[in-house]
Amino acid sequence: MALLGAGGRGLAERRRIAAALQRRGIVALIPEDALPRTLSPSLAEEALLLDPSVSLVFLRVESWGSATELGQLRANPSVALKLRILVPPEHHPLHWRAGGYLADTYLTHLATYGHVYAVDGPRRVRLPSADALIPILAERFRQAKALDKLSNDFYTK
Amino acid sequence: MKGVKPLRSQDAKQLVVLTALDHPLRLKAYRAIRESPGLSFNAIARRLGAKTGLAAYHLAVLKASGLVDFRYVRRSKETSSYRLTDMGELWYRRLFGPDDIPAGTTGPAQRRGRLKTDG
Repeated sequence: MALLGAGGRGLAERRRIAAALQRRGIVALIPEDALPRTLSPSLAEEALLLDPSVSLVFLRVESWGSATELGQLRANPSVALKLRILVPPEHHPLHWRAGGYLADTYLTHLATYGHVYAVDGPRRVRLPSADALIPILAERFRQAKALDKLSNDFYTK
Repeated sequence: MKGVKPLRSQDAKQLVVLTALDHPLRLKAYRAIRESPGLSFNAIARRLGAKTGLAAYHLAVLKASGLVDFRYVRRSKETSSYRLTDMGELWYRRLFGPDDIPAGTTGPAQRRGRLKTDG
């Protein structure tokens, strides 16, 4: 699996998580540590994540750089399927009344691929009712389908 | 994992190493780095006959498992230089025995020497 996200404290956190996974016998790749900086990250990372041995890609979005990564990775259906996106609750489209392009992107991803999780942040977050949740996801899925934004492989297999 | 006993530290380490080596390209890269310490990323990719992205992935797994490491050297431009870690060396001896090719026997100097004797 791969752990992507911001640098600085975000990188320190990913290293802690990778070490915890190693203690369970799981190899976790952190591109900044595992790839030489002589390779272009935007090219090497995608190739790395496309490999079938990488089954999960955790992306914690907490900087503009990681938001850009999200944009690039979710454009590739083979990688999008593996993505597990971690966002602060205040940017999660279901746990907060979040607006903006990024929250909208999360909602589309959630409706088409799932796996957008609210992590950390305030202790009290809004939980949507089933009455509210199902129409939100169904409507966004319909829009994505109408605009041909779904991966055919994903829905035909 | 609720209800599942955590692995012993040594077992977890073994699982990580064996997972890392459980692929023909990674095994080939591991041996190539052992034979020629200091190989650059591009040289390893050429030896593997793999595209850059694929080689990057497999070397990243070897690096993440702690078997190999790289540092940067400046030749005509900055280059990455791969070698086995102490742990990587230990595992190599454990897996292939002490009689396998000694480390660093196919570096440029040795290859030149071999060419001379071959010729």
